[in-house]
Amino acid sequence: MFPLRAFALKSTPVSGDDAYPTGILRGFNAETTNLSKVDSSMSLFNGYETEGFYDEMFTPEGQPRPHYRDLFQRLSEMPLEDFRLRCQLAEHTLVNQGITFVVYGDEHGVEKPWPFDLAPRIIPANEWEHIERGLKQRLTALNEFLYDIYHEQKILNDGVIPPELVFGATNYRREFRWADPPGRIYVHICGSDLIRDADGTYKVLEDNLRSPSGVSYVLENRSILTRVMPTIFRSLPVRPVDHYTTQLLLNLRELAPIGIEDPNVVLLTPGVYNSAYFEHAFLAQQLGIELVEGRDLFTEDNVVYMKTTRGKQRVDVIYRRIDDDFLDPLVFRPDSRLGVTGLVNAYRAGNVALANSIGTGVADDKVIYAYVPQIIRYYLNEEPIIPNVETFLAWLPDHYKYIMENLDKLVVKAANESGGYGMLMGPQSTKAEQDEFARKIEANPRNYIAQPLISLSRAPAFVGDHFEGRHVDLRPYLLNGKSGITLIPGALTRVALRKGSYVVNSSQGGGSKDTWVLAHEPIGEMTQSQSQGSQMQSMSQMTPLTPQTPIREEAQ
Amino acid sequence: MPLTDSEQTCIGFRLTLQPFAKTFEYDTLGGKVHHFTIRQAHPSLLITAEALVMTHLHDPLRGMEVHNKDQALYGSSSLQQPYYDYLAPSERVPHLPEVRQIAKEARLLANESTASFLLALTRYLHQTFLYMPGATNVQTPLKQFLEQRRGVCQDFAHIMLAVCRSEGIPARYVSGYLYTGMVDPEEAKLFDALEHEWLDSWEETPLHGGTPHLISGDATHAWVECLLPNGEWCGFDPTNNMLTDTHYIKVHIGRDYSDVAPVRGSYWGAPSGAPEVAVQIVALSEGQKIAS
Repeated sequence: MFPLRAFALKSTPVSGDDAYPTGILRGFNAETTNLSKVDSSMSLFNGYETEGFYDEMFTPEGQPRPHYRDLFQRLSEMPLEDFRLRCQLAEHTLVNQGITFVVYGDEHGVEKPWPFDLAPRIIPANEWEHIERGLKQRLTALNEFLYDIYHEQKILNDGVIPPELVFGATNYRREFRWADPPGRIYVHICGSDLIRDADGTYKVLEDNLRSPSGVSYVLENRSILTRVMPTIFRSLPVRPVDHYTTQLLLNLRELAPIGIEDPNVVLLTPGVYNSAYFEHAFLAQQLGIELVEGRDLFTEDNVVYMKTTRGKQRVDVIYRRIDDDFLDPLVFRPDSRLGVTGLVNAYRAGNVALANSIGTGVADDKVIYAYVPQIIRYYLNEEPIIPNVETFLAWLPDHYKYIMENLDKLVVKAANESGGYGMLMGPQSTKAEQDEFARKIEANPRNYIAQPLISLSRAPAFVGDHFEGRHVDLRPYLLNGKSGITLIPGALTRVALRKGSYVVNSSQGGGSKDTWVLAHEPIGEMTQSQSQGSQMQSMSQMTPLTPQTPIREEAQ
Repeated sequence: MPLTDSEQTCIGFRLTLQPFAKTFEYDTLGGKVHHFTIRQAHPSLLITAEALVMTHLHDPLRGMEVHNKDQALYGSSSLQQPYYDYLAPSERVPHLPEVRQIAKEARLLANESTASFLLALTRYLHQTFLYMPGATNVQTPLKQFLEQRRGVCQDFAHIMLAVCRSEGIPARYVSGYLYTGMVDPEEAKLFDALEHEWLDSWEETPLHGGTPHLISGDATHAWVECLLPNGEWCGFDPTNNMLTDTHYIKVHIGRDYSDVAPVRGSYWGAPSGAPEVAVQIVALSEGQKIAS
């Protein structure tokens, strides 16, 4: 099942002490040597409470889950100063490498360092196997759906989805009906947001089929964590993620028009003001392809070219990180200066390939999302492996009534917004905010959905000088190519760093964690841990669980 | 390029560019699109589209039901899928509550048949709104036209689309040319001076068989087509209070103007005014006209 099993440990970029090139880093090797000095009362997990939420690390009884035992043991033995130094090292690395993101509309400067929580999230092999099957099933079905609605529209003819929902979707591109993308693949890169509810059941919260971002942070988080926590990392069979870019480049090259032996692949970015510009630059560098803006490209005789110091160079494949709307002023928004005039004509003629294809946004519309279980059953004749979150559509009269009466309990989302914008968190909202949303929904019911507030699972996040539970989600990345769908065994775990917050988007005060997918169950580690006897203490034994524990503000 | 359908046949088409550029084309559901790129600096660009079109005589009423009630079809969900695009609000024809009033007043002038309502609506719009070149431009929102009550053919077409769609009647925008049949001697001389040997190459249409007969509008025309209960698309021209006939030459069909703008593009350079557009239509003989 996991061919990478043996490979996982060997391929980790850091191998123990030898990996530290400088003196300052050597100081951190206390990770294992300090074991005996630990006073359990000083543990970073002092006062940690699950508060009734599903906790990734602890059972409701306060015992570390088997796949977390090793990590828990090492973290709880780690002196505070030691952990803080590691945090500082991680932070410096982030700043030095310019790993940043941009929050729109923030008056305190635009670019911010990426908030990173050092405690990794661990996913055991059996859970990952479930996620992998579920997400591959989902992407296969969604790709079939896109092919169908841009061709025969069987699913609409058969009455499975009301046609007006598809035709009325902002991102339905009627101009591209009957257009055939290479290999029938519409979605080449997909990032699905998963959450776990109060029982720990994985559910899909949304699909991102346009230009999902965040994968650079998966790769960077891993490279930082292997540097600042090498011993813990080595002690577990963590599957590697660094083949992501290799697979992506392979898939992109396969898209090239027929007859082109060595295709020129470029990454098209909207530019430095985009919230994901860091990622665009990072990926272009990792892929070894040119990072271009619209003004660097032009079309001539239906072919796309790049301006270079040595004249024009033909472009065969564009990994575009620009939404459809801004791609080509001739076809989409005429006021956009981000795209390339004539690009869509060249695409239509088959002279250039785009990843993702045009028109994929209709399938990640939040209203269509509610129909994904039906989509899976319709095309694959299978039951969905990972369920959806229960969703109400303001478009349906009875749902509309329910939403309007329960605005204080529901999470309301606009159908085509992302990044946590255009959203109402009912239980945490004011009456005025609810009224504002009621007006918006009334004016355009098609554009709104509502979901019950899910008690997202929590994981320990380092706050000031100890760990506290914070809500997390999970965004794995899938690559779809001629050889099939690849799921990178790793993901972006986003964490809502504000106490009590459910919003994990980095634009709204979220941070991230490295996500360790284990190649097999940590049986060896369990035995080893148990042999150390007294070191294996449960959280509740160590510290009394007092609700009065003062809440410490997180470090700024 | 003019369409070929049951009402007209496009016998020939030629697109010439000055300066020269290679042209490409693709088909859409509403007609053909030609495109080109010129990267060299050029002080001016002349696009000449010449077409030979035969319009077919047909009964403008085409079996329309003009007496009995036949509205049941509209508003049923069976129309939603095939005609969604022609029923839903579009970029230039947003949902406007005000058009309900227009529909109501037109209903008062008609009996219970759809065709009678559409004829009454065409006449009502023609009488209520004033055709005034320059009163609006392509960017003017429909709401403003509703308020100022004057505009051009594009506004008349858009308002009729809005009313029809609010009533559940699928309606689409047609861009094309109208042969008004009036002769302007000045323009006739101009046409004689043009080269038109390429027209001779069509053997079926002897150009010099009769006296060319020329009129010109200053731009293209626009009207609407509505889906009648008998399944036929029928053309209505609210600007002229006309049912379309052999004088109408269809070029492209869409949801509204945005889908069928005759020319669209971008250029690098100093801003210059709106491009100049000239349309010339010559009737070759009975039932045959040339648009260029």
